[in-house]
Amino acid sequence: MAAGPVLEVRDLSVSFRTPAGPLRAVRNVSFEIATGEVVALVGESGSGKSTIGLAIMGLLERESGASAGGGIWLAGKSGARQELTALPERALRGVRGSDVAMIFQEPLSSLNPIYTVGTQISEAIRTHRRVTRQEARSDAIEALTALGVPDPVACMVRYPHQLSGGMRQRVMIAMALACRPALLIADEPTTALDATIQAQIVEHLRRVQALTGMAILFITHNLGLVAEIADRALVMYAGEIVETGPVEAVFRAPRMPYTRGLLDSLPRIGRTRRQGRRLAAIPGAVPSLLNPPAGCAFHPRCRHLVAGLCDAEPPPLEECAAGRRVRCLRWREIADAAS
Amino acid sequence: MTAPAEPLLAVANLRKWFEIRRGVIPRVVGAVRAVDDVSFTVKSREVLGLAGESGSGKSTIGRSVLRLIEPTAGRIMFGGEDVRALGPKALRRFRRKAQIVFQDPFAALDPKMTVAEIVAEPLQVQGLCRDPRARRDRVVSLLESVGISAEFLARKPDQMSGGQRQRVVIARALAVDPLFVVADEPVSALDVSVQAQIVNLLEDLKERLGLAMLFISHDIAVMEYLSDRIAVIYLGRLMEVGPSEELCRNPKHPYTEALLSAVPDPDPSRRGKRVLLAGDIPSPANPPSGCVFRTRCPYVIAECAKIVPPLRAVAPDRYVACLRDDVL
Repeated sequence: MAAGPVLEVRDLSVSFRTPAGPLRAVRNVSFEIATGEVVALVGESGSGKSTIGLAIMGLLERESGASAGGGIWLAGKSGARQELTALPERALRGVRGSDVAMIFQEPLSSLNPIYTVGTQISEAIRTHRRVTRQEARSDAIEALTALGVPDPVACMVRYPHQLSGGMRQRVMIAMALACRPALLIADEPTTALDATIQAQIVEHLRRVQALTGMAILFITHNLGLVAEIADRALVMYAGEIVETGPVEAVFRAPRMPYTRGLLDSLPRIGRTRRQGRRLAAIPGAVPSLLNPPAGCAFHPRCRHLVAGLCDAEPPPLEECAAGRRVRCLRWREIADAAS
Repeated sequence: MTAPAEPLLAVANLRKWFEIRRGVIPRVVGAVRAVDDVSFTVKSREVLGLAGESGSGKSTIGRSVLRLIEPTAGRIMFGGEDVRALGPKALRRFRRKAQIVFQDPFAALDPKMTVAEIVAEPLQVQGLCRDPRARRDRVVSLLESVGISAEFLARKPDQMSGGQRQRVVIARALAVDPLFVVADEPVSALDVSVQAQIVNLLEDLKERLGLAMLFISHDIAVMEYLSDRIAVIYLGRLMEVGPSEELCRNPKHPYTEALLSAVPDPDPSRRGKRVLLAGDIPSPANPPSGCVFRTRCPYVIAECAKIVPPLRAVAPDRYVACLRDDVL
């Protein structure tokens, strides 16, 4: 029997209570991540992509007014499949860090300012694994080395504020990886960093992933990064998944007009300008989730809109090819017209 | 051959050092060399892109040129006038010709003012369009030119999306009919799907109004698209200057090469090959001797620590500050 998925999310919905009414940040989202698979969760601000990451980690309850429905199952290192959404906080704490770990955009707020890097990574290791201080220390140094920290031994005795943004993020990743999680959730881990530093970290992350075979849920708005790192993409818009599939296929022939619009709106170095064409912008703005548009949430911005159809009926997420799904009532016609 | 026209803006040996003061009785203990010996020109109707990472000094250059901050040294000539010598009155006149668009449309607009008031403010400050009706017409036409309809006149910034706010910021900058605009990361705070709208708008305005622009960004793909020429800056110093397409296709400075190669390409079939830099960007308070890029340069040689490489011409209209002419 083939190994089951490391993560399974079924019908996940998350709402936040706001003075203006319930904000439905995530609506009926389902997906799986296979062992060792790198999946990108792509979306713009307000698409719900970060909320999904927090929901998997069980970190939503801490925010006021969040309520979640649906189920999340994780197959940890032991192989046992656990329903995270049914676990008590205590048990969840054991899962976090050891089976699933998360890194965020701003590492400074996740690091403790009064302990050295070495202390923090070693503690993370010893919380989840029975090893001696000495072993934890050498594992920590090994992790920093793997992430391209130039002088890992010197780095161990530093405090977070003494490090650059790029170094802090490497330390965060080293902590997250310290316990060999089966799944790493990386929420915009390089967005705050400069291009050359981002390239370094993505490269090291990719190497570590190949070495350890852990699965990654890579949350980002950057389509370039998706193309660089992910096997499969889940494209989100206004709280819903609107397209899924292998990255190659989705980028080569996007089926959802939103995905196509995003890809077309990006200038490509050495190509767009030489072809003398304008950027194909998507008109309008991302909708408010307090009051999402009826029918397809993307219809007010879609150039393939058919009034009476797209604004009336919410489209299902349907299979459009093997391993690919799209949420658009008109995808067949649009695909035919394009070919 | 006719003599080339005077550039609209000519910056020579611009320097901005921020002093670091410490102690109970503060004394200067060092300086952050934000901008060091930077020279460039912007021609009329030309867009010059200023590409660099954080701490490169690109925003400091933009602000110094408009004298929103006072440079430490250097010469800034705009339309034949010495910008650094302008008195208060002349400075106000200068601001009618040179404007700025900031990155964050959420911070750049007063939340208590309506859109109409925001766009009319520079007209009032400059004493233009004194007649209320003429002023209102001007505001409406300005907003129209950036794609905002008159129904937004009475709205406040918090009732608008990020893209709409950035359009209002642009309309405000254009209110005084400037010749030159510094656009400091004008699309970085916007959603991906909205960025292209604003990039296209800037392109249209440049064509329609004949604007010259200093386009500051860390996104070199957007920059290549919008700029005629690109100046690449690292730790306060110019590394390379050249026409956008050529510079991006065939970078001549090791840093430009690395910067271009670091941009993730949204084409999965091109995955892979990269020039990866080692290490971190040094602090501008303590920049490396010689070439400031040498600590991360894959082609470094011993001389790089000793000599500050001058910007030398390597081809018509292309300049590179690198001692090595044998690698790229």
